[in-house]
Amino acid sequence: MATPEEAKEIARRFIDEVFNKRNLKHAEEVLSEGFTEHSPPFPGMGNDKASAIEGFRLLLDSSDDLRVEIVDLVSDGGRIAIRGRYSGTDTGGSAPGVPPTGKRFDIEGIDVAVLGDDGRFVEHYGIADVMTAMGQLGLMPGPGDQG
Amino acid sequence: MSDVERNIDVVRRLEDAYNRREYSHLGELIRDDLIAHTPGSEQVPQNHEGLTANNEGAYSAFPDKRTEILDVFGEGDRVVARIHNTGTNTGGLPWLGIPANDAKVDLEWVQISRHEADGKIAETWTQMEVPKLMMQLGAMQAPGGM
Repeated sequence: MATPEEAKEIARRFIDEVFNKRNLKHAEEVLSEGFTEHSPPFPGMGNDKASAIEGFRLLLDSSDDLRVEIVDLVSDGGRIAIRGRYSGTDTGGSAPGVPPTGKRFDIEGIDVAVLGDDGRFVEHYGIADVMTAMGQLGLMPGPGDQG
Repeated sequence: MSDVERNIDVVRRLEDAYNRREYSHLGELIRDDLIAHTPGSEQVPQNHEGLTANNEGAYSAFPDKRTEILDVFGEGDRVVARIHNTGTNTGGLPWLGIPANDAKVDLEWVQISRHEADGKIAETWTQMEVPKLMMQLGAMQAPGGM
């Protein structure tokens, strides 16, 4: 098993490569073949490695100036929690079929990745502050707009 | 028991207290001047009284509410917990304008807690699947019409 410091370094490199350098090849390399995504970003998306990478692609496509900054890391060696700050401009649309607003978002999220014995990711779960992002983009349904 | 194991035990005991609606030992588990970073709950006082009111409010909406810790680990003064929550809206959420509608909710939250040297929780950061909750309650449509 990795040490907590080694696990955090793997997480830092992943965030930097995949989200800040937009290098999806890195995700292909560090997600194990049997990877399980417990938190698909949209209803109907799958839980396997290919679906997870498609989720990363959708996030990158939603904002051409996305920045992810790590605020806090917690690891026991086998798992790493990442509290991150996600900011950028909604240039690509926040969900499939939703037109871009051109507005900025700046939210936090907490993600947990599980490492396998070979130092690759085998599982992920995570939740971002989507309601705040929708408010910042002006997409929040008001009272009376429901259903 | 290491400090990390002790802190994890505090998180488990607090969740158990919320499930049993038994608040007399909150003072042993969580500071009364807690700093809670929970989006959307800025108006609720984050002391024992506010935490009790939060939990009782959830039980008034979802009398069959249950939470279960799916995963928990820690390092240093931090504990990370993944929590699964289920319930049925037979009581209504008047503070959100949502009437009782027998909707089943099934959602998760992830919490990072910071513990004092005595193990008590002093600060929390929480992210909850709020859009999923609102869709399950029939109060919000899925993005993009999904």
